[in-house]
Amino acid sequence: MSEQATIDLARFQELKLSFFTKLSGEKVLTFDIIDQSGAVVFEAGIAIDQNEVVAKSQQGCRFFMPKVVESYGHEIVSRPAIQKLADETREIYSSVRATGAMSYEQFLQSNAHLHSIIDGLRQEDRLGGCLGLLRDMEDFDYYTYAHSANLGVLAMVLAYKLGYDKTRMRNMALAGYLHDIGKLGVQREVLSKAGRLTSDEYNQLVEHTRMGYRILDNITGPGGQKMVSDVIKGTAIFHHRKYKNMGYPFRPARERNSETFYRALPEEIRMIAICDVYDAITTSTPYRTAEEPRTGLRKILNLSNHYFILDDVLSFIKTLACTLNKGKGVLDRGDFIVLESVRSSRDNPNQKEPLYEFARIMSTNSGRPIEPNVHIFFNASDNKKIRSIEVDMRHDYTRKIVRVITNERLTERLRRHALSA
Amino acid sequence: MARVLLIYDNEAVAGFLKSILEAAAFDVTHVSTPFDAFREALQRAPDAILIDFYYKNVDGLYLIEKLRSTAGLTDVPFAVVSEERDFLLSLDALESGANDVIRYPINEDDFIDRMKKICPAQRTGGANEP
Repeated sequence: MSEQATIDLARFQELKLSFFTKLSGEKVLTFDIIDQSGAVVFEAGIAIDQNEVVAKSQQGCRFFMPKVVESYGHEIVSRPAIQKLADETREIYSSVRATGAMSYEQFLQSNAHLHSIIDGLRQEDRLGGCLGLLRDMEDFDYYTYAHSANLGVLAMVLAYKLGYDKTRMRNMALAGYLHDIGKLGVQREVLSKAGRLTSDEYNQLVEHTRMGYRILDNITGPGGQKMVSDVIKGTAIFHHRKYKNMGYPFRPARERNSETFYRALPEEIRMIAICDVYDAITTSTPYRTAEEPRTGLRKILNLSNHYFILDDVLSFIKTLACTLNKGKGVLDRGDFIVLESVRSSRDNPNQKEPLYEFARIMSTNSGRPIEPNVHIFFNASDNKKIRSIEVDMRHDYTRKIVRVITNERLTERLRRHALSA
Repeated sequence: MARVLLIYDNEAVAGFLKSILEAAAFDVTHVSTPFDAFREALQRAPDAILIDFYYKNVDGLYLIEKLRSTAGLTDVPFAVVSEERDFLLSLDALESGANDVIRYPINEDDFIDRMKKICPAQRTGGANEP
């Protein structure tokens, strides 16, 4: 059998020559490019030589890449940019560590750096931009600077996809980039300790949020004016705050309760807090091994209404799931999930209360990570079976996915219920 | 006699739970800080752990996860006491591996039944045999 027969060109899209000429600088693709016979002409991860492209095309070679849904991004990576970002971060961080403060010039420098990446993102707008950066960042060893660079990029891509304007996008990227700057005030041994922390060590770790705020607040321009925007400083101090169970730092002045306080935080800070947890779960640290993106996303989903606001989590997953999880979604056929909706309270019709239902995923919809087709079979709020209904989540505006069941014992119990429904 | 480790930071409630359990012939040790919890759990090898979900300043789920991932404690059954009538919190407790969730207000008989159910059979005189 010829090789041609095994390649289904319907799954590929042809690339015009202009695709290659638009790649500025040294660009690396994260997917293989094949020719019409199915042979790989440019391997993923290798820089593309424009002359070679032209030469091959003159020999009659056509270029194909795997078809991807628009929102998946085309993953074009500028490797030198990442390398430079990580190097610069290391440089800035080590100098801040030595002096205990960040100078205005250093602030401008990190600013300029992210700027260049943002510009890159805009240039490659049509192609989905430097989303592949994220995946490549994972190749770096885990250091605070790599985590910082990760968050800077993650925050930036998120801001971009959420449609923020340029200033807001830049602030969010910087906020992600500098969120852990206060860790420089924490002893290195504490940061890399594998075992349980003593309460002194824990308190020291908690202090990194306030420390970060102070470092950023002390950055002044030539005229002595404060230079760093509130969102960036706010991220440094509040990125460990949680929706329902506080997090830290605890109780700043005038704060009445954790939930109202959290809701009042700018969206940028709340989103970066999610990125922070996601990155921590999917990166190996001295005290835990890295989880797969899919597991990470599921964990994030299961933290909604508890660590994070449900709508924030859903918008995080909706925007980034396919990108982070290599085109695949978060949920699979057969998964059990919990849906949340709102109903009037039985006791007082003027009052609203949440309604929770158990459902099973019948099929997923491509490119719509949290809008599968489901079978609802149990009303958990009233603890009773209901006549099962099928719902296409793409068209249901009342129900939201709030949990995915991962525990085996629970899954088994639900399976029995679903069968008898 | 089944040994239960009670992790609870509210002394009054802890005393109440302890008295109910002791009346039903459980051997109860009460600790009120997460640090003590780890020490006692490792030293005494309890048959079951009963834990307050909303622990002061410590995320209850996080504490459960840490206890669960500590060598020697991975198989110890545990129940969670939740003061809130929040469906998602109970679900999260079960998700993180809790064997049961006990909600307020506590019905004494029901509470003891549930505790007997999660403790290994030989310790409670076969109470959970069918």
